[in-house]
Amino acid sequence: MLKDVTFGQYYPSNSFVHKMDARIKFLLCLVFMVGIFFVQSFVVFGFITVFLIILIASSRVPLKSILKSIKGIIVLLLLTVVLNIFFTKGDPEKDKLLVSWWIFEIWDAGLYFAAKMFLRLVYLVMGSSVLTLTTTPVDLTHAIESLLKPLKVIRVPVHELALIMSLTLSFIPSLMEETDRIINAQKARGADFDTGGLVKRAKAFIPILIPLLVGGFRRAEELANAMNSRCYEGATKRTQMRVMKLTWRDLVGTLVVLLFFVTVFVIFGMKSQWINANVDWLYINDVNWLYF
Amino acid sequence: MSKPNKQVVTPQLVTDSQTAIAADNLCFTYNAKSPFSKQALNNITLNIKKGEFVAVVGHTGSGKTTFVQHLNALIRVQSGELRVLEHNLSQKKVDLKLLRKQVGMVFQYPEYQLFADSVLDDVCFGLKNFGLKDKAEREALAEEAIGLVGLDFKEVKNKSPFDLSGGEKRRVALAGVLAMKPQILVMDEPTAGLDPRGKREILSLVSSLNKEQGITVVMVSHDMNEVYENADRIIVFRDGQIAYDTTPRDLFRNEEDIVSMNLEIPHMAKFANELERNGYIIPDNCKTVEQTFEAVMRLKGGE
Repeated sequence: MLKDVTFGQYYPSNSFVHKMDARIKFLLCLVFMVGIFFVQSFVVFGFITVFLIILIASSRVPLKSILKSIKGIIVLLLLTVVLNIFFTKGDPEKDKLLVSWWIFEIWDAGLYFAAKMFLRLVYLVMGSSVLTLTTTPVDLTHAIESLLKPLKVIRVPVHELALIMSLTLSFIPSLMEETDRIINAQKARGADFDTGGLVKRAKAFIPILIPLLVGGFRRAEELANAMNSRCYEGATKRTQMRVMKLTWRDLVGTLVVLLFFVTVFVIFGMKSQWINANVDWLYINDVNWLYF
Repeated sequence: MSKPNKQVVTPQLVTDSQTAIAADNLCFTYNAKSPFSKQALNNITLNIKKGEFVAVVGHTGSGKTTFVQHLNALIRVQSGELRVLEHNLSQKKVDLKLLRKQVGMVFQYPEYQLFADSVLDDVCFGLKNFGLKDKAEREALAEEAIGLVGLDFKEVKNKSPFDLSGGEKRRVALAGVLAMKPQILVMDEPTAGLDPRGKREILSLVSSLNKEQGITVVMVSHDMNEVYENADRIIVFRDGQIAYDTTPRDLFRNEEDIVSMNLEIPHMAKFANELERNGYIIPDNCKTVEQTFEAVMRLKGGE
């Protein structure tokens, strides 16, 4: 049941993407996520799709594990799509009114907008799950710690923040395991989580939540004691066992991603006048592919 | 969790009214078809009779816990056949409520499953779930179970289970399972983390439940000494398969093989083996210090 959660589920492999430096992957992922929000046309979404396919293929993570991560935002997706379809008011001069019923109006612009929003969210999650599937949580925290280092100058406790993050991450699998065990134990005592009304079902979770909370506090206390007894002192003069080094892969990866985005955006993404002037060939049969 | 796969039903599995648990070619793989896939059970075939006290031992990761979780359908059968009492667990439709009432399962560190405001509520949780509507009846059963595990019902019934000591919490958790009057009691390391006295008390309770009430006991354990003294039969798991299925005395005659499986030889088994090597034949049921002492005295007296 709980083993299906993809979050933090590292998919072990030896691919190009796996071997890249976590910091570079993290930064490129940020570029990808920001970039996605500037995409306005379906043509560019097509290019992003090609990019994602190449990325996923080179990471050797099965598509199934990546698609699984979308399951988590399905409610958000549906909500976004439905709201956008019904509440986007089109411009009567440019757009077509498709359906009008009571207070609801569906414009073709709304459909396009909803579709774009859908693609944006799905690609966002897919892109970031490539990062989490190819990078161990430990590497990821190290990467974040390393990237935040400059903030130390203004006295941000970077190391402590990274520690909190890595502890949180390391607690997730053990808490999930414990949840599984508690669920099993209560099931063995006849607990029923699948039938009954909303209130009854919500109540059925009390026997899971309370032991889980108690266990969480117990674990946290044990961990604090263990760290204290080993004289843990925070950031003072700590070294890392695995020092992260940049390799040719990171250079290649960065160049490929940046080149791709710059090219795509320069040719298609921008709406500014001087680019439009250069891409006249895109206006075929009076359809403006830039805005479509 | 796992969905039962389509399977070929093997008609060989014959059970009668004396059989508590019967498994035939039971296999189970965790995370099948993923890079984390791991075969936990591999062709498990066994038959446990009603009233037996069976210990399941094996190195960490040998499949013991996976096997016992099959017994009340917390893990569904992937392939092979499994019958527990009148239930056929290989079939999709199983009366889970009845099965789980009949097969009481005590998990590792059962005290971590306590949640209710009072000890009484916690012990009654299972009874309530299994549809016992009458409050007085529930309380009577809870009182009996709490008495069985050696706690003072009047003293603890209104206490929060979180205010009790570790050993007391474990007894409350055990009482929560015993209150349902299970026919089969499955326990996963019931004595782990207890002091010697707590261990002895839990074991003698389980033993008396087995002897006096005829409850079938399946106990997973790492402690060979307790297994040796209490169980009628020991099943040794190795890499998801059954390596041995025999009486304690017979099992520990294979000293080298047992050690090679990272299991230890119980003190009394070592002693009995040594006696045998020196020509003293003592009966197989002499497993405690006292019994062995008596047997040796009898031999001496006969000389």
